[in-house]
Amino acid sequence: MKQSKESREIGFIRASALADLANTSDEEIRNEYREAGQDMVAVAKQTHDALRNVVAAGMRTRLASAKAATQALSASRPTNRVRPAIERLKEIVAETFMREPKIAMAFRDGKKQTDEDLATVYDDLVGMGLIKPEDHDG
Amino acid sequence: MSANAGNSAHTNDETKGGHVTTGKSPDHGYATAEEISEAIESLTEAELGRIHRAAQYALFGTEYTDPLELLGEAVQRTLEGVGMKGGRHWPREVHFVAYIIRTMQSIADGSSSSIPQSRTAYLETMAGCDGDAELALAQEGFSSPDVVEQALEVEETNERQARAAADASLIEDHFANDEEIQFLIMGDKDGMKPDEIRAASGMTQTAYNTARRRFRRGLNTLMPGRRKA
Repeated sequence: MKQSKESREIGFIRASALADLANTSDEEIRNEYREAGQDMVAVAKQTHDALRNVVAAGMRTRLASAKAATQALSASRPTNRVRPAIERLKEIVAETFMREPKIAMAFRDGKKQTDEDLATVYDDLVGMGLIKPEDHDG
Repeated sequence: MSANAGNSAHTNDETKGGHVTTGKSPDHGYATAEEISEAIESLTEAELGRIHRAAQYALFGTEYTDPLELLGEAVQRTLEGVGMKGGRHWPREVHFVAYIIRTMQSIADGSSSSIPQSRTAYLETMAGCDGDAELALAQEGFSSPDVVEQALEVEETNERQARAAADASLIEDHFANDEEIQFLIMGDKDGMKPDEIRAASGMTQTAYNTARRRFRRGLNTLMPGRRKA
């Protein structure tokens, strides 16, 4: 594909600006924000929040894929798993989330989860191998 | 992996950031989704400010309307590439800030045919640092676009060309009264090397570097409010 002259020009401008940025110190960048009347602290926070949202969404997608794969596996190997009582189930899920904070972040969607939601989460975590029911028997 | 690992936050690290693979199998050299998440959590305020500024520069001439949209795309593609043969991969030995900036630039370039051109200019500009940028990029497998870009490159749409033309015009108008920057823009437009631009303009190396800095800082004031949706 042949690019337009303008696209090539913009590509070069991007490259030169980024190259110069690479040679600019953190302090200089901070000063530039200040001189431009921009609040770098606020920009940094906004950027961090946006990145965290992308990661959380990505993790949810990965978990959904893992769940689909687990369900496909379960369908081919039926089991007769019994869930623990709901209070014990909550404890196990909480312990697992403490152990796997990134997984917890992926499940977090800003709403309160019902007992049924938690039971599904429990099943997912068992399916992913992060909870081993036999460890919590009794 | 820490986002701070091996970070000078500027200079040579940036030259080693770009990375795309299509034919290499994922191996232990690439970060996992959890490591990507940890690196993002570890980003400092200064690094976030740098990344956002880089996203602003990369935004010109693209279909993206907000720097965070382009940044999000870069991270999303990296997450999607984990464990996959194709797509974006973050090599662990490359600083995350450098990697994500290079990835945004590559996405913005948007087609394989543009990558060798921009890479050449980029490396020439950076040649004063340590001269090993080409080697670093070659080692990191920066050679070809990912699957998404292969689909995008089939045709550079009229719309994209129009955006590039509009942004190029915006930039040229903004610097119309700065003769040295006019030389830079004309040189960039004609694909001239830095030493050719210096020779044509009569700028010393110092004057050239100062003009480059002035040019970039001028772009800072062009960005806010640009093409707000």
